[in-house]
Amino acid sequence: MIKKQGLGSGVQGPGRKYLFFWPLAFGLFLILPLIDHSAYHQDVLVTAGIYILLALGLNMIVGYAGLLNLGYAAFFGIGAYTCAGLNLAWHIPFWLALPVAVVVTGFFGFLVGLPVLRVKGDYLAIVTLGFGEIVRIVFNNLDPITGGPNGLLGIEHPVIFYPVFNPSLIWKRFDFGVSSFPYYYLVFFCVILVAYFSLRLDRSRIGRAWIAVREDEVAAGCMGIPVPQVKLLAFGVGSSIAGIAGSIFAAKQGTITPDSFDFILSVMILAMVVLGGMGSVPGVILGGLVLSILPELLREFSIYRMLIFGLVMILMMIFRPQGFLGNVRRKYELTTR
Amino acid sequence: MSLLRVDNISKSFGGLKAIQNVSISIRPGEIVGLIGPNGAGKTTFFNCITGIYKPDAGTVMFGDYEQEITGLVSYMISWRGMARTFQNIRLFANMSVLENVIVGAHKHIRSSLVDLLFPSKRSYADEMKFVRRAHELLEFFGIDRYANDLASSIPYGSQRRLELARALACEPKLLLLDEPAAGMNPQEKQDLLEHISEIRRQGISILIVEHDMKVIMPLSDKVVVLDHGEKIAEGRPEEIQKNPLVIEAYLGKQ
Ligand SMILES: Nc1ncnc2c1ncn2[C@@H]1O[C@H](COP(=O)(O)OP(=O)(O)OP(=O)(O)O)[C@@H](O)[C@H]1O
Ligand SMILES: [Mg+2]
Repeated sequence: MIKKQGLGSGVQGPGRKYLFFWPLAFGLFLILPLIDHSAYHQDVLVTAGIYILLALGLNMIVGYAGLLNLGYAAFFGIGAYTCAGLNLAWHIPFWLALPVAVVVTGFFGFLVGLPVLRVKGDYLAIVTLGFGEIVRIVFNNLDPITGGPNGLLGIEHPVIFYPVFNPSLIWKRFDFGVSSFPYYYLVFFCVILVAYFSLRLDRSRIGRAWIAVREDEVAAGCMGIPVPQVKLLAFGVGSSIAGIAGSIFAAKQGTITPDSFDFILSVMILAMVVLGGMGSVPGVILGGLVLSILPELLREFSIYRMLIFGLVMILMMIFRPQGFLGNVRRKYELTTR
Repeated sequence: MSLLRVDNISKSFGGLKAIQNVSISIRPGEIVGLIGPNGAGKTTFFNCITGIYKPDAGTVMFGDYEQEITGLVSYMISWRGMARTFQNIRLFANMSVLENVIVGAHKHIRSSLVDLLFPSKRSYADEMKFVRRAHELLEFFGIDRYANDLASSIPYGSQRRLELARALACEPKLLLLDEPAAGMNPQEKQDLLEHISEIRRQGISILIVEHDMKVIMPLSDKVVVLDHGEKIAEGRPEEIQKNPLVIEAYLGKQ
């Protein structure tokens, strides 16, 4: 008897009970800015969305392919500077600069992947950390192109045209401007798209190859998985997602400076992936949301803010090392042991 | 005409000569047994052929046209049609049993990143073909009921069979088995014998390392004996059992 079932319906886990939760969360976040008009809340959520995009991208590298990357903020920076640079130099609108930034960032991910193929584990962490620092220093010192420590100013906000019948057809111009509201939906859409892509990857030939390499590189090679190519692809694709986040960031802020892309950010994004649950898309989204909102909630504790934040992280790793929603496959392992 | 021809390969680790000038050949459809005391170099020999180690000297020829594969990396050798199992089980522990098998078919599945963003009927049908094939392989080994369990959670004997199923998903011409019966009970060993015979009937050649003579002797067309990294005997199973050199290697000098 051959069961007719896709891979998606394959692995079951305790998380299955809570599936109804995701449409609810989707609906809530879809209408949230229409109910809650607080500019502060919207702004926090846009930032959270950008972090979630970054965490989803890093999850492909660290969570799926198991390649530790401590320099991910550099790719965020490359995406932001590419989008900003194209706009400032040639007035290329956001919607065209975005895909270019994605490709450029992916290409840099690929380049970093090349030397990284020869190193593993801790060494890989050092190499990526070094790359992250180099990129930040280049942004800081390549004044003619990157504006040095002052960064790039005056990046245009995205503009869209929409049709109105009044009574004949005319195209109206809408500038995203400085309010968070339109960016909220832009980020929301991108998060959904990247999450969908990640979930599809997880159940595809390519995602399976990444996970197999993470689980056992030697066995994966013997099963015909071209390990070097597969790792490079993970680096390239995972990094290109940072290009999306970087472009939105640049377009929203209107100004970017090198210190927005420092080592601490790399660590924060990694923490989101680990805290949420490596390899789990819902987990990583939750991790990103919690880690970007928590520091805001803790503002009233002022100086104790980072202390509490750190404490929460430590407790989490002691009592729930697999993260909020560890990968379903992983979760299975932990319950059967 | 041989499917695999290994000529005088050697491999040392520091001062230790793990294998020295070992030659063997396997004809299409043949089952060759590789035996020898612990530490004789059997696993090292496998690793040299499958590209995990690069042999220090010697050549490995493989395939219908006897192409040289010495020193190629393991995925390239796998693509030429060689698959293996491991002495200490190396499954993808955090993947499901079914996914483990499908990974074996990686090379045969056609799907690209574009198919991920825009799912097509064709890529879905292609994927389903391999899902069905994987279920068939699991059924062949009687472990299909575990299809959706985590590979590390199934019983030990079934994990050994899963390694076999995963290797077969590569559609190999030659299958290398490193102690497939280790840790199995007599009934499981009997099933394994039948499975291996059936695999051979499908035209796949097999090189098998095994300590249990009740497995090696009935299966093998030819047995090769290694001791301290050197080939000390080669011949039909019944000849090998009587060979004084082999008896000495196993029992020590009288
Ligand atoms: N990576 C390595 N580094 C150093 N020495 C090694 C390595 N791999 C194997 N050896 C040594 O090479 C020799 C042969 O080992 P090998 O594992 O090939 O033996 P074997 O015949 O498979 O033994 P067993 O029956 O115990 O599996 C042993 O002395 C072993 O310690
Ligand atoms: Mg061995």
